[in-house]
Amino acid sequence: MREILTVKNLSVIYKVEERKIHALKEVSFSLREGEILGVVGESGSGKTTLGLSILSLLDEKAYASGRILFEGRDIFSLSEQELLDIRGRKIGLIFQEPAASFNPVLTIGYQFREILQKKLNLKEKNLVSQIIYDSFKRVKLVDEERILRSYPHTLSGGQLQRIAIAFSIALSPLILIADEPTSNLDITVESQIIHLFLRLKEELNLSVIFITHNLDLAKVICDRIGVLYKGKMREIREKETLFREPKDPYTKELIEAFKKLE
Amino acid sequence: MKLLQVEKVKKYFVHKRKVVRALDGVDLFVEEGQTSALVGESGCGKTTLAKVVVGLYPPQAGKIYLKGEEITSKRNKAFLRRNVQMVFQNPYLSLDPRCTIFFSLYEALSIFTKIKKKEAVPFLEELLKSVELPESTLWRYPHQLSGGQLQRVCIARSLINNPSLLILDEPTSALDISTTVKIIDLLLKIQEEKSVGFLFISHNLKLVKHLAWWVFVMYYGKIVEFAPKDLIYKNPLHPYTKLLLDATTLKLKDIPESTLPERGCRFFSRCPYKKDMCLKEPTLIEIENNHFLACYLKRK
Repeated sequence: MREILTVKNLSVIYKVEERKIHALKEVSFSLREGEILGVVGESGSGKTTLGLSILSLLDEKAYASGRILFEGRDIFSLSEQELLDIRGRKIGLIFQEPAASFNPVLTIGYQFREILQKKLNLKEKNLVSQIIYDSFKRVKLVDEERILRSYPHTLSGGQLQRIAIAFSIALSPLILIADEPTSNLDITVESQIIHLFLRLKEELNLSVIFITHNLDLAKVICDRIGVLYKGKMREIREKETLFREPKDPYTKELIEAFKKLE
Repeated sequence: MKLLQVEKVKKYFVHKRKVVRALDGVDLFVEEGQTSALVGESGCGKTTLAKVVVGLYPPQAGKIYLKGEEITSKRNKAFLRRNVQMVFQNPYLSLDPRCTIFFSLYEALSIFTKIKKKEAVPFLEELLKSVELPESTLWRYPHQLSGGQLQRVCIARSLINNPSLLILDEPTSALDISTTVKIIDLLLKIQEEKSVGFLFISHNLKLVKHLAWWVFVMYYGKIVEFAPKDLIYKNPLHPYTKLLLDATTLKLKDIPESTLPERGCRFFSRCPYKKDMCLKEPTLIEIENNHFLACYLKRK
């Protein structure tokens, strides 16, 4: 399978009050086309930093080294304008807290149209409504007229996360990075969103980096899983072999804890 | 006699001029030294029930008995406080960030026992050992400890006055998986040693399996099914229980959003088996030995 994104020796250091915190240490991996790659780790392992690095969204206190290759170019060498073309358009990002992904004082419809206008330069009304309608249908949102008129606080967490996913796929990106997209949702909603990701991956041939701390989820959704611990990628393998015979001592411990709860 | 007996407890809130029936006649019990688990989605009233039991909310109707004593009345406040303790979901928010662990524990200790600070030290060191923490933890501040360690401190604090009932409100949902397993082991050990009753509140049926004797399934402020653990897992009868189990194993695909109907069975809008008779709300009755269900499906 073709590799669509390659991360080489990525290290990220945060400088906090003269102290250096190594969030990522020499992380290397590649994402294959059409796969869901899980990045599993405990809190503080560097999962979110990894997701943000790929879109070059780290704040100024962070120092990154290494290379992230996408479409033959190094993300870190791109200008701000070139990055804007990649963010959203080519690589979408879905966050943990759905409510925080939206502007609370604007309607969903306004925000959706704004994204389409800014990112795709679409102004023609019919085309815009068509895209909105299609993406809502893909994420199985019904009652789209009402949702478009609604403000974020009137919708449930599950609905908002579906809308966030609809926003992302409307720009038809090649890669989606999902950073704990279900950990603030109810288990019944979580299960549905997971199946939504699986379906979208098939329908749109998306490549997904799925960041999570939940091994149950990773086991269901991912093709391959990478285990991140204290900023290091300890092991990255096919899901089945990882669960059957973990090699790294930390992964072993994690899988054992997981199996104890089975 | 049951350790805790909750009978027809109601708690309504008024929100934007609408009445929210958070608890709408809940029956539940915990047996001495055993664990009853309360499961359901967020917003179904789990935490409200916990707060009513510990006396943080007065119930609008219904009775709560602890060891046969009614604890909803003012007269039994001290009895209630000594015997019922709660461990919350987020250990970071449960301890005062400006106090050492020693002070947080000593404060709880000094409520029922007159003891000088110096004399309390060996006792508290012993207590921390019982939750598998080093003695030196006593002199740390919350920010110096990890989430798992803090939750151990919270458990230790809740045990200080030897309560007979612990209410554990999602005690591991803020923790990582390896820590969760260790906390569950610790809780089982404590229960065996001290024979404390647990009311374990969770949305995670996988965890509940490791702790509970009885499982109570709650939906929109009412218990819809309860039975011993094995019956719930092997033979779930209420469509909502099945839905929760499917969600736990991530098999659940598209279902309707939950809405509470005006009348009738509260699960009506999501139920795949709904019939006309469901417009009248089913009551909780014993369908087979020890297995209680509020649904017409299995009735003859």
